Amino acid sequence: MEEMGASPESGTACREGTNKEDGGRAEMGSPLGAWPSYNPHNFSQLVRADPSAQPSVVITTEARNILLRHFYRKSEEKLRPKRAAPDNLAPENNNKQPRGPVGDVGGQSSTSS
Amino acid sequence: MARFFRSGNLASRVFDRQLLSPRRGAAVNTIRQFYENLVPSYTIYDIDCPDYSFRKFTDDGKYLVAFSRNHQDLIVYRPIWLTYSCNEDCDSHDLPAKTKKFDSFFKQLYSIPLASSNEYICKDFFLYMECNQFGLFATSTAQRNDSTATDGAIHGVPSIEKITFYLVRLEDGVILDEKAFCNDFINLSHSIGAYLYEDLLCIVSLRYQTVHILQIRDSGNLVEVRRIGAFCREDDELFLHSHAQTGYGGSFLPGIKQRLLSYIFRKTWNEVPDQTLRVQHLKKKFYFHFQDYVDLIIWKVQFLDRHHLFIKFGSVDGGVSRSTDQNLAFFAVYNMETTDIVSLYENSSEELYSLFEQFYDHFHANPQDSSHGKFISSHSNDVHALDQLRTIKNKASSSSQFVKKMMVSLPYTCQSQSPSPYFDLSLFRYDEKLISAIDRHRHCTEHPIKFISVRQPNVVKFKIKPGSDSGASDSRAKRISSLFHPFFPLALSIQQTYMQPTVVNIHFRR
Repeated sequence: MEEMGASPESGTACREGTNKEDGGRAEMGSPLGAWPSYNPHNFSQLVRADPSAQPSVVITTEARNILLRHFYRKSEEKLRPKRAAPDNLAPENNNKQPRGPVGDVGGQSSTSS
Repeated sequence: MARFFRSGNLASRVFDRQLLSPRRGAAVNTIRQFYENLVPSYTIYDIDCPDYSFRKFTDDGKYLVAFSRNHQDLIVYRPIWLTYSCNEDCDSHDLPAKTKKFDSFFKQLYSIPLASSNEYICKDFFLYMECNQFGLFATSTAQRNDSTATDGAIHGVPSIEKITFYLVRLEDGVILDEKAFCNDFINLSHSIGAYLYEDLLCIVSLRYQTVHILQIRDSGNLVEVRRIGAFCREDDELFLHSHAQTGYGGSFLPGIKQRLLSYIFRKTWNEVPDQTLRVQHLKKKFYFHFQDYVDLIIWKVQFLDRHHLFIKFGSVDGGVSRSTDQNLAFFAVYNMETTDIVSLYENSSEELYSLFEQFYDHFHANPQDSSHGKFISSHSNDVHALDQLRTIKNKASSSSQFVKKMMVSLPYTCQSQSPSPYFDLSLFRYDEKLISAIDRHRHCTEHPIKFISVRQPNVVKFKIKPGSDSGASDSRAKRISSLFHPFFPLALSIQQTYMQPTVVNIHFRR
């Protein structure tokens, strides 16, 4: 049995079943590699971050400063063509359907459809 | 908040510095706290100095720029420090006689003539390019108000026969390049008509409604790289001439105006999704005001970064004066590369105000700013200033009038604020009506201007007393301006009284 690592603690932890843990850890493909622990299944949930798999979590430096980014974002919101509201809803109703046969404002739309 | 409980004693702070490293990104803020201990508390009144018009310390603290009284010569000084020696204990002695001399504090490097016979240096205009130590100055001939409209010039804007910009290497006074504008009008007061960002300079010709973008090369050459106004892209003019139909009587609106109108059209078009209501909406919001939009002129421009300009548009009568009236005005963000207007706001826009409140520092951020230049206090980086602003906003009777009043400070005026740590609102409180980081002449007050510690609200750290009273003279006729060195505890206060010689006082740490 070989002593692992510099600290006496990890050495102690490894003394029982070192070989088993080594093999277990390597198989798990844990980013912590062959570091010793009591249980080979500890840290097995850790997945090495793969930037290509999750592009949204990659941190990049934005060329534009925050003020310009705000100008662009607000402008894009204004210039995006608004979706025309469906026929049976008037914007003032807050997307609520009129209950009765004729709603106050909804009456206008319902007569046209 | 922890610093409120630490000792303010200088020795104690020096020991703390050995043990504690500042929080990340706050090294300059931490070091600036030493300025609470090192203040320009000693004043020499009416120092014996040449009768020059002292303009400004450069932001790197290396030079003091001055102009001769006849506005023809440029004089540059290097700030030095008073040195003297005593045989005995110095503190008990008065300062030596040479303290009263300007030469003990400033060494004259050179004096060069800038303006020729009928021209005058505009003493309000000065921009400094720190990396190369280049200074930009302007001279002009007299203003003519009865200007005849020439081709391309708009009505209502006066004309100046010749305005010349000089690029001077401040190290030795060599004039590296010059650029002249003839029969034009550029707002030179307080450098409003120009803006320097890194090595790019924009100059706004109000008369011809053109924004000239120049690059300052390391060699000292001023090279025009772009001209925005009648045309937006470099090849617009060529394109129009080659495609112009003969016999076509009308003329095109200037390129920048076309961009503005098309933006307003698209925005108005998108406001109403319903096809049938859209045309009505356009008539009301766009076509009804079409002529008002066409009549808008460029007032002031600044860079937001190397590719974007922030342009203020307004009516002709408001453009020339420096009045702070609150007529209708628009702010546009213009991308020079794509020639698109990115966004447009009215000067009463709450949305623009909220960006102003949160990101005011980004309006004047310049990657080439010296470290103190990056830490100029504003309501966006100081809680006390923000609190004050919000209090004023809440007390304002009309929200839109308040917003318009705040928007008067945009676009930002280049290098208009002193980076001196004594104006740092997290260190000192002072009456902003009497003195502030913005260099302006103010009316003289009889009372000294107090700088009070923020940490210890009852402690006056130092005072700037405007000057010895000259007896019976009316204090209203006195104007005072102050020049603070960017990082030394050194300041000049200059008192000007009508028909009397200028008095210069020097404030420093003894």
